[in-house]
Amino acid sequence: MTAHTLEVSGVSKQFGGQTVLEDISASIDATERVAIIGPSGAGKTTFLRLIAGAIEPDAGSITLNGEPIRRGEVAVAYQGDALVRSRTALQNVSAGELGANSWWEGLLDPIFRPGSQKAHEALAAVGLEDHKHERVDELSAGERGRVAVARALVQSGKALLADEPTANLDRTTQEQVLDVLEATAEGGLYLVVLHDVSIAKERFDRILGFRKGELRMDSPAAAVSESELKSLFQARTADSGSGTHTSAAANTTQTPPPWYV
Amino acid sequence: MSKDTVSERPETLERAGVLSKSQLSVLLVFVLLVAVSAWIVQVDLVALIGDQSREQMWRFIAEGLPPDTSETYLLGRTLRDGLLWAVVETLAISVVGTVIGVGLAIPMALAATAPVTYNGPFFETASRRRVLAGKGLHKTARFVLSFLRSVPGLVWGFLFVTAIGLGPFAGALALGIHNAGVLGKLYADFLEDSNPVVTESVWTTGCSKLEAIAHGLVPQKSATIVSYTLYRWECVLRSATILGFVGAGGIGYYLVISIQRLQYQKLVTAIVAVFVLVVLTDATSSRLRSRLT
Repeated sequence: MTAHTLEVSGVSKQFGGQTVLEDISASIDATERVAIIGPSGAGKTTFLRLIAGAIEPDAGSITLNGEPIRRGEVAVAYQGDALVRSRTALQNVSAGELGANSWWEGLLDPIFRPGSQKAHEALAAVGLEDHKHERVDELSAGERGRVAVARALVQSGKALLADEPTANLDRTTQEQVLDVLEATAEGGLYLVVLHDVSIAKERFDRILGFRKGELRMDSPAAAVSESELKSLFQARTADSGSGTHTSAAANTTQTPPPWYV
Repeated sequence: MSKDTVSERPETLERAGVLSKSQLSVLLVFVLLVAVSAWIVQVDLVALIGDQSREQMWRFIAEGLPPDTSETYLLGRTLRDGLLWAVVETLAISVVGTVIGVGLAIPMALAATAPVTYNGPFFETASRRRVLAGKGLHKTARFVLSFLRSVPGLVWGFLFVTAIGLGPFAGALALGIHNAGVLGKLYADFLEDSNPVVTESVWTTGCSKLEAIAHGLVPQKSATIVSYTLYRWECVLRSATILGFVGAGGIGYYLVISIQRLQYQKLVTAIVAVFVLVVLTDATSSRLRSRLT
């Protein structure tokens, strides 16, 4: 993956009049491995969807190498439940190549000719070569997560994003999946939403911590202290403190758009 | 009895299985509805099991047996004649009718599906005008689907017989149009019940909207869609058996002629033929459903 730079400037996002992200700014260098952490409903996934080009910010801008980011420019590994459960692992992974093909190939290939060399290799990389012809609803939650990662591997993105790729996996498989993602990122832009803070500290260069729609932590992973993590995750400690973090976003209930389950 | 005991009583009764006030109200409304409906329908059980009706039923059975299995009745004089041909024609009407219904339902269902026209991942960055236009299309498609299914197949049959003349094609068109309304609404409802995150995950690969619909939205519900389409085929077949009443082909013609001429032996044969056809179609449909879904 070639080196690219991501610039997020003053980004805000509301859904149904409620602020989900407020005034987020971050500059991410090409070679940084960035972990995004925070409690549930903090805005991590919305931040990822903005970078993926799935949604647009209400205010601010997101640029990749100085150009506004476009849908399809970055590869995204969604969570395992974002797969089509009635299709096989191979068909789901092949869908990752849709953006690179012509529309008619895109319409027919994933059904009638699923499985380019790349798709087979991606499934092998996540250890699912033997399960490629199994329907996704026959796979375990961990295997589904790995199929989602394999789908991101076949996308020709300028950056690699992943939404909790280690969820429902045992420690060994977590390490394997992160190894694969890192190898695919090849030192390029690499952002991962994680629940496991210890993994974030061990394997990433930088940690972005979200809480109630605000970017409350932006530090090198090695420099993140236990007290910082406590204030990020423990509601009362952070929100009833000195008042330095209070804002419109901090006082709202964060709701996704009505269609987003 | 102390005050406390009185206040606790309703809860105790509910726990003991006695109906609460709201449940009792619902039950009373239901009983009232059934009673009024029965009065309107003029339900008369005495007439059903009375001497006269029993005598009439017995006469029908006695006169209907043995069924007419003569070669002339079953095979007719030409290829497109006879009861068996009418059975085949009924089956053909159901197949063509269902295909017409599915063909018309798919585009209308897509237009009537909110995630395709105005809501969800595709419209996160759409202009207000685009969303309003999508809402307009959605409402129009829903209205057309309502209209198509609110007109019974028999009435569509009468209209098509008037327009293109007597025959099975009029029947196939009639059932196709009516079922386009039924299937279109079902398909649209199923698609609206899909998980938008799945569609978004395909959409963010940078593909076209059509590809995201084909590989993200529709496959989530394809098994249900196939299952209900096969079920509708069974319904279409049952409807096709009476289209002959208005001259739109099929075995209905034999049924109505036998009734009008009081030819009970022929009528019994036709009823048995309909029964066999429906049973075979249901069995085929079930097998297909379990294999495809």
